[in-house]
Amino acid sequence: MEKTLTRIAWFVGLVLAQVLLFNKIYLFGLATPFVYVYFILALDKEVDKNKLMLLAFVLGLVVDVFCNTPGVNAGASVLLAFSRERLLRLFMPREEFENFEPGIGSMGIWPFLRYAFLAVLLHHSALFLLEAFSFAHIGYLLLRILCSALLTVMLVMSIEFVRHRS
Amino acid sequence: MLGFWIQNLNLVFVNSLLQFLYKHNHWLLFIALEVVCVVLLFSYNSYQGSVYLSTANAVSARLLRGQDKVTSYFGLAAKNKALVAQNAALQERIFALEAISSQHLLDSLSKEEALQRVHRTGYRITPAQVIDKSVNRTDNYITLDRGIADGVEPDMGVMGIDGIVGVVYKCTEHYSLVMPLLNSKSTVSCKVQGSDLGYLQWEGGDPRYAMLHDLPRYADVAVGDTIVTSGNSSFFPEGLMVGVVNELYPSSDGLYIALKVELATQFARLEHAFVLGRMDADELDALKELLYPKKDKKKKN
Repeated sequence: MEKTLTRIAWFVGLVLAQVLLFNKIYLFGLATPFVYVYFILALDKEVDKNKLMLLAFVLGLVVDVFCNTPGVNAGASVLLAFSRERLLRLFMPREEFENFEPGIGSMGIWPFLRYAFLAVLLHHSALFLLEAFSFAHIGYLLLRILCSALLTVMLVMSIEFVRHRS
Repeated sequence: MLGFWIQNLNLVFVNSLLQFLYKHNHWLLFIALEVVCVVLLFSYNSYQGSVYLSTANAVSARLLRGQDKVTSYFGLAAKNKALVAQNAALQERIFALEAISSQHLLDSLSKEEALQRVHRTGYRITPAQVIDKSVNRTDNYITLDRGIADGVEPDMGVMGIDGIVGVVYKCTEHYSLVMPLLNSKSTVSCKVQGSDLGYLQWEGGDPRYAMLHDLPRYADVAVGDTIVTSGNSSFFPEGLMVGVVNELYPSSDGLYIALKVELATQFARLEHAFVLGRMDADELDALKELLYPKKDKKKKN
């Protein structure tokens, strides 16, 4: 019960931070962070894959409503939720325990950073490609994906550091 | 006997199918969810589609308006200055126009008659507050805190203090979604002041610039010229400020030139907007209905 409430609090908190703050950031005309993916990255494994995908869909759709891009964030988030297990397996310590919760506490700083970067890159690639729906300005698009991913990962790591310390 | 075998075979088949589906159920869910996303993505692009999945729905708009109420306190001084400057400019125009009208109109027309004539072809202006906007996407939108209840309707033009902003796209009761110039689907008929026609489109990237296409090669235009609305559509009256020519490009076939236009409206800082409702819109619609019955709903502003 307490766990569920914590999850809901993270969900709502990240959505609010995304739509009220991070959506307005447009650094150097290139980078917009999508910090809400932290919810999908760090959710404990007690939530099974299908539930994770459904949660990611709802999360993405809520963000989409505030971006006027129905389907874009939702699609990218579902893709990330779907591939999360495979990505985790690349960096996870050998012994897999029951309610594993991805984070620097359970994985170590570097493995988590690499996991987060790869996951965010996947999510942002899907996001920006779905949004543009063309390869017309592919160079600019790739630059936007990379810069935004770097910014998102930086913010995700900051959240993770603060959370780990407390 | 044979029937039994077929039934059995069927059962085995159905069983293994069910087993397969069960084993790969997350694949099924994944595909189903992605299909829903793509359907949403495409249905949103259809005109008059899902306004409730946008920033103009009651819940998200209220949240964004709350945020705007807080953040709009920052920079009030600069905003006041801009409004005062606009007031002064408008006052000057009123004086100039009154001078002209007293010379010409009043000879043959009483002032009331003249005003009525203006009223028939004029625009009703609804001031609105920008509660949300974006400039960093391919298809940007702006959310205003005025809707159907305030007389705002789709296809009305929207201008800011410095120049035109875009066209109202969708409305709910109290909010509306505007398709600004910074949207790949936006097309606005413009002209070089006192000269030739073209249409303005945004090609993504820098929110300060857009392209004016289809200007004939012989057009008399130079860097620094003013671009204004053409008045060819019902969205905007003629002569509203759009921007200033920044660069000239000849097109590949050499028949036309394209202009890079520095937009007058600073979208990243936009806070106030004015919705222009044409007084004779009903008449105009009726006429259009006569000319192009029903079908051609797709607009070219």
